[in-house]
Amino acid sequence: MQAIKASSFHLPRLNPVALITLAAASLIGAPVAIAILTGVIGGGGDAWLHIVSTQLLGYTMTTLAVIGLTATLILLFAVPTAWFVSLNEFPGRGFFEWALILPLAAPGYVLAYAWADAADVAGPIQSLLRDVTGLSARDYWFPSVYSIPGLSFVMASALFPYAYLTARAAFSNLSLCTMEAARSLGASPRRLFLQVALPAARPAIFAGLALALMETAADYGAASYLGVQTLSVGIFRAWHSFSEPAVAARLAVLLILIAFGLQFIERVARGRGGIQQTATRWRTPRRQKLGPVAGWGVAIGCTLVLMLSFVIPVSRLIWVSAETGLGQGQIVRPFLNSLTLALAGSAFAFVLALTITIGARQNRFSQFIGRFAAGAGYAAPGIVLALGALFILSWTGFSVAGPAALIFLVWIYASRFTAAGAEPLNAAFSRAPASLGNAARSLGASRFQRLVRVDLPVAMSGASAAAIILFVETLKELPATLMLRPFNWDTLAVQAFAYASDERLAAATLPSLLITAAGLGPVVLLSLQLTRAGQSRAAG
Amino acid sequence: MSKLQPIHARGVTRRYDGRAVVQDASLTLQPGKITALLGQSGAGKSTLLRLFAGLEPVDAGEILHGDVPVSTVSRHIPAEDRHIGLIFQDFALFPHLNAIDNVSFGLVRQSKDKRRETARHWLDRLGLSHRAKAYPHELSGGEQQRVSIARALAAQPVAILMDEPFSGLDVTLKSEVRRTALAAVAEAGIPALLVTHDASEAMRAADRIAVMSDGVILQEDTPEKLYLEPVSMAVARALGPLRSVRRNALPEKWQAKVPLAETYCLRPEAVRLDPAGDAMLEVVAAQRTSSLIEIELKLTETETIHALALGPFTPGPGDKLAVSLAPEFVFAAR
Repeated sequence: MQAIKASSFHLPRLNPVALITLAAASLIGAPVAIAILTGVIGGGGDAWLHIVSTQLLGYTMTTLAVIGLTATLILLFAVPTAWFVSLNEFPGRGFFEWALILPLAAPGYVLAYAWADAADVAGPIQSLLRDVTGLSARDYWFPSVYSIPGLSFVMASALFPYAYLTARAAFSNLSLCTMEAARSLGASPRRLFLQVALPAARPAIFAGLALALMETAADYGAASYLGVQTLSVGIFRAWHSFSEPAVAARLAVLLILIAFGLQFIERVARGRGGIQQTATRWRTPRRQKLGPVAGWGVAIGCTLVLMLSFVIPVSRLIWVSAETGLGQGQIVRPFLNSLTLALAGSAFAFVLALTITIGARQNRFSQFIGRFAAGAGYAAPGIVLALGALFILSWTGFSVAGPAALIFLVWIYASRFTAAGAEPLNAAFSRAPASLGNAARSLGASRFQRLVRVDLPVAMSGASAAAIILFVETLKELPATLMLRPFNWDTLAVQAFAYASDERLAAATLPSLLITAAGLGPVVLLSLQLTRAGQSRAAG
Repeated sequence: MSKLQPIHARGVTRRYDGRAVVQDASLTLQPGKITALLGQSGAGKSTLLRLFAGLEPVDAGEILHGDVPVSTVSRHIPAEDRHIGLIFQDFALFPHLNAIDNVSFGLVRQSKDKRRETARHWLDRLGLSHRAKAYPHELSGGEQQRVSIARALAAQPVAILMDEPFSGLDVTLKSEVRRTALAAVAEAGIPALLVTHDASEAMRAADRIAVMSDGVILQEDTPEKLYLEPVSMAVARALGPLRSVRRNALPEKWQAKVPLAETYCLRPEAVRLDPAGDAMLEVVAAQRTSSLIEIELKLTETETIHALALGPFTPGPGDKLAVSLAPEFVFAAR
C-alpha cells in the first residue's frame, strides 16, 4: 500500500499545458493577426483609393467567379465518382478508389503550366484536332485556359480530391439500415442518391469543398500564370510591383474575409443534421454491382476525370521534359532548398500540431485557443501570412534578403499548415477511448507521465499521415516562398514559376515534375492507407 | 494507512454551472464489500464516482479515506495520488500497449521482472494469460474489460470504482465477465463501487445498493431490504417493475390484507397462482418469457395487475385463475 503524499494537497494553479498551448497558438496566429491589424489600422493612402476606384471590384468579382465556378466543377468531379466508388461495383473500381486522390500531388500552378501548353494553338490537343478535321486554327473556336473558366478548371482538377475524400468517407459510412428503409419505401436508385445519400453526406462534402475553395482563393501561382486578376494576384502586385504594403494588407483583409465567409457558409450548409447515424445495428452497405453498360460507363467517366485532372497534364510535362532534355536550368540547388525548407517547415508545423492537439485534450481553454489559431492560419492564404511576416521583418529591422527571412518562412509554413497536420493527430485521439487520461491518472501517472506514456504514443499513430500531409503541403507552397525567400534562394516551386512566367516552359517542367513526384509517393501511401482503413471498417 | 479502510462521502455536493448534479450525498464504501450506485442516466451516479476518484473537486462536503480527508472544499488530492482503481464502460485500454503492458502500466515502482510477474498473475487470475501479447483491438469486448480490471487490480488500489463496466458487453458475455471480474474484486478485499442503471445487475453483484435520483441518494441498504422496504415509490420503481392499482379495484379479501391507502403499487410477485387462492381473476393476456410466464389479470374494466408463474402451460385469454396475494410485495403509494 502506498501512502498518500501529504505534498499532493494543492489548490488549482496556473496550468502549464494551457500556457504552452497559448504560446503555440500565438506563434500560429501572429502572422495572420498582424496582417489583419495592419490592413485595418494602417491607412492605404491615395494608392488604396486608386485601387478602390479602379480595380477592387474587378479583383473581388473575379475571385468570387473563380470560386463559384471551381465549386461547381469540384462537385461534378468529386460527388459522382465518390458515390460510385463507395457504393457500386464496376470495372476498375479498386484502382479508381485510390487513383482519384493522385491529383493532390500536383499543385494547381503545375497543372496550369501543363494545360496552358497542352491546350495551346501549337499544343498537341489542337494539333490533333486540326490533323483529324483538316481545319486551320482560324476555322474553329477553342476554349482558352487563360480565362476564369480555365483557371477554375485547373483549380478544380488539382483540388477536387479534398471533396472526393470526404464524400467517399461519408458515403461509405451511410447506414445500411437507412438505405434499406429507403428502398422498402419504394425509393429508386436515383431517389436513393438524391434524397437519402446526398443529404446525409452533404455536411462532409461541404467540409471538403470549403477546404478546396479556401485553397482556390489562396492560389497565386496558377492565377498569375493564367493572367486571371484575382485578389491574390492583386495583393502580390501591390506589394511587389507598386511597393504598397499597406494596400496589399487591405486587400489581404478582403481575401481573409472571403476565406472566413467560406468557412461560415460551410457551417451553415452543415446545418443541424450532422452525419450522425441513429441505427443502433450499424452496418456498412454492400456495394451494388452495376450492369455491364452502366459499369463501363462509370469506368469511362472515372477515367475521364483522372485523365483531365492528372494523367494528361502530367504526361504533357513528362513529354516536354523528355523532348527538350533534362539539362535545362539549375536543378540540384533548388531541389535541396525545397527539401530543406519542406523538412524544416513540416517539422515545426508538426511540433505545433502535436502541441495544440495534446493541449486540446487537457482543457477547454487550450482546445479553443489552439483550434482558433490553427483555423485562422489555415484559412489565411500564404500570401497574407507572408505579408504579416514581412511587416514583422521590417519592424524588427531584419533583412528581407538574409537568413532571418528563411526562419520567418519556416514559421509561415507552420502557421499555414499546422491545422492540416493536427487533423490526423486528432483523428488518432478520437479513435482512442475517451477515458484514457483518467485511467492513467487512476494508475498514478502524473501529468508529465501521461504526456509521455499515453498522449504522445496515441497521437503518434496519426503521426505518419500528419508528417506526409505537412511535407507535401510545404513542398508545394508558392506565394509565401516567393515573397519571403532570400535573393537567389530558389525552391523548386519558385523556379518552376519563374521559368513558366518567362515563357520557358521546357525549363519549368523538371522542377514541376520533381514537385509532383515528391508529392506522389506520400499521396499514394496516404491513399492506400485511407482505402485500407475503409476496407477494414467495412469488414468489421 | 491500511488499504482495508472504508471510504466515506459526507454531504458532498458538486455543481455544474450553478446546478447541483450531486447534492449533499453521503455514502460509505466498506472494505471487501461491493456497493452499487443505481439510478437512471443523469441521476449523478458517475459524477459521484468521479468525486470519489478525485477526478473532480467537491463544492461542499468531504471525502475521507479512513479518517484522512482526501477531498474537501479547500484541499484536493488529485486522482493520480489516490491509488484508486477505475474501470470504465469503454475499457480505456491504451491502444499502443498490448495486454500485459497495459496491466503493467501502473507498476512503475517495481522492477521489470516483478512487473511482468505481477501482470502475468493478474492476467492469469482473469483467465487471459493466453492473450498477454494481444493489442486492445485484437481482443473481444469481454477480454478488453477483463484486461482493464486486471490492470486496475494489479496496481493494488485502495479501492476500485467501476462506471457501468459491463454495459458495453454482449448479453451472452456479460454474466460470465461480471462473475469473473467481481470475484477478483471481492478477493482483493478493498472497497468497491459499481455504478449501474441496471437494477438486476446491482442486485446480483452488490452487497449494498444506493439508489440515486436527481443528484440525491434516496436510500442505501442491502438489496433485500431495498426491494422489500423501499422508503419511497421512486426507490421501489428503481429496483423493479411495479403496477399501480386503486384500493377499490382489489378483491375485497385482499383489501383487508393491506394497510389503508387510496392507491397501491404491486410487484409482479405480489400475485400468486394458488389453487387455494382467495380470488378468481380472468386472464387478459399471457406471454412466456423464457422460464417465467407473465400473466396480465383483469381487476376491473380499466385496471389490470401482473403475475409471474412457473410451469409448463401458458394460460389463454378468458381463462379464470385462482390467485392469492403476498402482501409483502404491496406498497401503499404515498
